[in-house]
Amino acid sequence: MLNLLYWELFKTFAKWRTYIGFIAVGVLIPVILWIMWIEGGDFIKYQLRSLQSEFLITGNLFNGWAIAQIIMNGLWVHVPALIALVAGDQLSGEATAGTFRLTLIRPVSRARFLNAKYLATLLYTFALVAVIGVMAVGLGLWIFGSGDLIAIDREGIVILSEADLPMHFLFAFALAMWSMFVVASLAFFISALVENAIGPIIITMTVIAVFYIITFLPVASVEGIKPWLFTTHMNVWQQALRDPYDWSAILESVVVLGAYDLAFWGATMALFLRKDILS
Amino acid sequence: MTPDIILRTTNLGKKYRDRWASQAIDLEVRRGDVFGLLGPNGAGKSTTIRMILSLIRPTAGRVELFGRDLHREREKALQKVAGIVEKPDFYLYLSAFRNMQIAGSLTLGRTPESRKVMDTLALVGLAERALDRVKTYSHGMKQRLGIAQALLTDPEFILLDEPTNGLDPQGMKEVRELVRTLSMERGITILLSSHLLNEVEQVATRMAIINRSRMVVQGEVKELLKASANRVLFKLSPPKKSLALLSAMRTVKEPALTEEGIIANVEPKHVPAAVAALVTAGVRVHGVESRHSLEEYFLDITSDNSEQ
Amino acid sequence: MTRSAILLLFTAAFVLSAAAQRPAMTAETVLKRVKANFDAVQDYTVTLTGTVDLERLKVPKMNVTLYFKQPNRFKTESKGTSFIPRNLLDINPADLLSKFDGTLMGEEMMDGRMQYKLRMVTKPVKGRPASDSYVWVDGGTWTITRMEAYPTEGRRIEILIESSLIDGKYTLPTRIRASFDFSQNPDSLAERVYNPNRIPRKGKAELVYSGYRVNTGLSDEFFEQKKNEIK
Repeated sequence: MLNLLYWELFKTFAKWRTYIGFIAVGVLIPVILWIMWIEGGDFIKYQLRSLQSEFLITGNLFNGWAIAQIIMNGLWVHVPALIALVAGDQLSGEATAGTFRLTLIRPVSRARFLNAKYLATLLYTFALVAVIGVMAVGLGLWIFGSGDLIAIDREGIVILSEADLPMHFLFAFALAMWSMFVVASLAFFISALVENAIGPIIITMTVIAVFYIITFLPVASVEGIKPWLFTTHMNVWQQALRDPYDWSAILESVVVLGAYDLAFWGATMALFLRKDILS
Repeated sequence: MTPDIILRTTNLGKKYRDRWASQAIDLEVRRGDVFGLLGPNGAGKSTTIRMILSLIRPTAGRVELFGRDLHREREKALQKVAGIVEKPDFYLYLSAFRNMQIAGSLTLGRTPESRKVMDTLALVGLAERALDRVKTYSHGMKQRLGIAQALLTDPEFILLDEPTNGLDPQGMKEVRELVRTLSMERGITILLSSHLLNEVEQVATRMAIINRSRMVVQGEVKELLKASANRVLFKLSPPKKSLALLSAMRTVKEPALTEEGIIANVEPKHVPAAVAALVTAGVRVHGVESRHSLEEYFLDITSDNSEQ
Repeated sequence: MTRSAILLLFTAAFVLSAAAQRPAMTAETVLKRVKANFDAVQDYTVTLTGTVDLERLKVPKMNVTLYFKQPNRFKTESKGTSFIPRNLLDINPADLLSKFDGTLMGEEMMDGRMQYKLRMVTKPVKGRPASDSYVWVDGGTWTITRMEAYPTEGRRIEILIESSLIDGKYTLPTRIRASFDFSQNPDSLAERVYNPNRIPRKGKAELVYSGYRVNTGLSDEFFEQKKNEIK
């Protein structure tokens, strides 16, 4: 299995398209940092405007951690597309290139072959999110310095102490990775259905967009299904920037997202094991 | 099943919606065979080979390789098998060397040794281009690389689906020679499909013919050729008068005018008398050829079949 | 009887004369005493440690250097982040005098010390409703010891201030404890404009002042805001 995985990773990382995501992130994050540098922290004041009248607030809240948080908030729109770019090519790419005729006549079970591909897809997703994390936090801290983090969400405002932030962010990126695994699994599943390069990306992004629309639709009739949509749980990483953690909410999101992973993986497996290689 | 039977298919078939792409195929390939799977385009050869190589799930029947059921013991059944289905396709963005490593590791469960990879590439004359990306390769080079990746893991049975497709005459000759070498020198059992019957005739020891998705006949090439041994091509002028004369001879059966001349069934011992009679009747004889080829037989069989 | 009557007369005369010598206290006079006491401090630097524990607002423990200069300039420096409730810093007798109408409600004993209880009502400002506050002033140290503020309807802040004599001559706070109860106020502009969930509702704060350095001559320039520092 490890050998299979090694070669799946080798193939994945030998492809030019795999690096588009890294290049995009490598360009986007410095651009965001540059804009932040120019903007000079007004957005932090804007976030805190409702508290300014009540509190005298001091400290370097315009710091690398805050920037990393903003980048995470901003990039989760783009990252799914970058993940779909690679995950959506894993099976459809081989089908299009005809290389299944090279690989699937070999005495390796389709299940193991598929699992190696799936793992390689998840590892790519891991790598992309890790690069985002390292760049956002690393460059952010390097340019803007460290400090406490103000985390604002529907639950209120939390100032997380600088000393605790590495752990909070590790946890946040782990959860972000978990939610991005669903995107990867979805794109992977669609790549088993479609035999061209662009289809899985478009379909994946369309599915995500439709789910997001339902998630944010203020209509009573869809309230019941919202907790079951993966898009409702995609921002679970924000739960890691709370104190104390809301473990029940985290667990719920982790389980729902994990169930999607399992479902997409299972559906892909079922399709792939029965797939006739005709091209 | 005796160990000498490498491949046996029983009532093998694939149905797409309401159409059988391949039906009731009962093949038997024995150790040491160069087995030709013949049939016109669309007859179901490729579907059959894909079912044997587990690329397509059969709708009916079963495949046994080396005595093992492909469905139940896929990994063991395919352990000593290699193949090229239609044109060999590769990871074009990788070098030949890497493609070989990937293909080999799928059989061996580990990355094959570099030396072995290079030796195999050298065998097909690609050692010097081993590190070039496959996308820079010509069609012929890809074909040779396909054969190299098939040979890499020392298979005992190789399936070649239309191996000379798209090759020039020289390339086709090379493939034929390679097939002979693999069979004679390495003792590899080979199943090759082709619609170019002359090609199969030259290399195959046994064969089966598939037409309109069904297997029509299977057997030793020699035996099958016997059935068409009496076919004779007369190149005569004038043609119509010649045809009339031949039709009147008792020893000449079913004479038919073709573009090449008149083809008829004549036992070899009656040919000189027939020629003498024609010459006596004033017919100019330009040539007499024996046409006991597989192609004739194939055309006979497939045309009979299509008339049914 | 005569002796008793004479003693009673003397006592009455003493008490009356003592009362006559003591000026009639009003809210204004009380606050002026407090202001006079406070005016002796031109500036100070102090280390503030403490906690703010509010619903919907979690702030880590603070360690802040607070700079003050009259009349009411503040600057804070901290390695970490600090959220200091403005109500706790803005207890300025000058403001109480200028922005409120005060009424002396009476005297109360608290921890064995006499306290003047004042009712302070904000002076009318167009478009802003008046708000009530109660202030307790220690009759001995002339420092504010307790406040109860009702800035808007449904909101209550209670502040307890402990003070000590610094450098033998300045009475300054050493511990401030506050409790907040901000029930939702639909009329609040802040709550209508901003997400009401973001407004802290209830909670406590405690500030401990230590290491006072008084009247060191802090310049006005020192209080200019730095880039990126939230003020």
